[in-house]
Amino acid sequence: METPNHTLIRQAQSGDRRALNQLFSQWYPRVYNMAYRYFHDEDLAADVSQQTFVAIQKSLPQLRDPQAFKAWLFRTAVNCCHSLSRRRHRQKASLEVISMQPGRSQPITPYQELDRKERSQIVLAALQEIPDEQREVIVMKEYEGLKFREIAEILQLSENTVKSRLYYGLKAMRKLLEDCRLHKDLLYE
Amino acid sequence: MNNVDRQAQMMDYLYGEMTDQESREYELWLNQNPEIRQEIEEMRTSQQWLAEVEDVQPQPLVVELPGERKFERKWLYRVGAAAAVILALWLSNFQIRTEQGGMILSFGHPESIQAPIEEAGEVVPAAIWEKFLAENRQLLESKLISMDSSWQGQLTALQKENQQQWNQLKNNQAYQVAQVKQEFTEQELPRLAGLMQQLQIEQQEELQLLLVEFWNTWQETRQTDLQHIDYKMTNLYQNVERNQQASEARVVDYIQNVAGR
Repeated sequence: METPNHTLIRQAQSGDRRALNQLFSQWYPRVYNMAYRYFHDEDLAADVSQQTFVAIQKSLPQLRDPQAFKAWLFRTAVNCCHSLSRRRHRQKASLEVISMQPGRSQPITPYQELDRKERSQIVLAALQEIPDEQREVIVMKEYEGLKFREIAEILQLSENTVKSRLYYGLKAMRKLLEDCRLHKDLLYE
Repeated sequence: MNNVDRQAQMMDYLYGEMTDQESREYELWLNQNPEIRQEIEEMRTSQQWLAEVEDVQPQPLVVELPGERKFERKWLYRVGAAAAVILALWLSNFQIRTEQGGMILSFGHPESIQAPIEEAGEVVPAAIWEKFLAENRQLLESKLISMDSSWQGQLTALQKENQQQWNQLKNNQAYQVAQVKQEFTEQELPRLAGLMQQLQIEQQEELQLLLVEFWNTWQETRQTDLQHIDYKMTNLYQNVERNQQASEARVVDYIQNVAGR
């Protein structure tokens, strides 16, 4: 069934600049946020988004089935993340930068003083510590709400491999956050 | 059940990708396997932590689309091809007029192409017209090519002008950044961040302005061309009609002459 989004894709394919802009406006925040969670860096997120949409715009006329657009868009974004990640010298010390290194003598900020933004930064920093292949699955599942089938299609893996990566990713996150002395009772209710 | 299957089931359960029936069965199974239930609870905590990360407001997207120019070029070819013929006729001072009972096609002032003239009471055979067109095809084509290159020239000039404005803006911004760098200290980091943000906004605005300007100019040119095309077509139509009437009158005269003999 032809949805409004599919109509927009077809219009953009036929060279309608307004439709193309609308399509980009619609998907840009999602791609940007995905890349931001992958890298925990706004500039890199902007770079990935730019590269993704340039690639999408270039190859859009070749897309036969508009239903495949979402998977294609995320696959392109993930590929851009991979290629940027390979080029970039990874800064492993990101978790330390935010003063949450395990075993440090300074007291942990009390819940009352630890606002949501700080906690968000800690979680993002922890995300950077886990392997790329686990992080990308977590980002797509947790933040993009994609089905396992969709993630498997995007990453061209089996569904079981995706689930296994997610399993290990969640375990690793729990371990890292515990090491940062963040416990369940610090969460917002 | 192997490890991978066990993990897959846990993930399906955790993310609600089981059917109701599967879910009920799995919960019954969990009752007999408290260590797995414990593991799932731990993962829920990870999920809750991950949910703490909110969406960020994306930076403005300034995408320099390489395909954009391609698209414009494609569009340019289509419109250009359609307009070029008529535009060429207009720019080369193309005229159709009747003289001494014949039709004269002329291009420009110094040079003109004279169409075969029919003598009084004689019809010019189609073959002669074909020959005339064949003989003058090269000249007509060269006129079209020259007009097309003039069209392209106008566009190139416009693009060059926009590029210059864009370069000027970039140079000014680079100068401002260099100045800040010279007197940069760590305390001034917020100022630098503010400046960078401002520069980005300026760039985006300038780019939009240039695009709008380019588009408007393009539209104006196109409108002017269309008006001229319309004007020339009206003239052509009137001339054809006038010639047709003259031909009809001549045929009537001829018939009357023959009948009178």
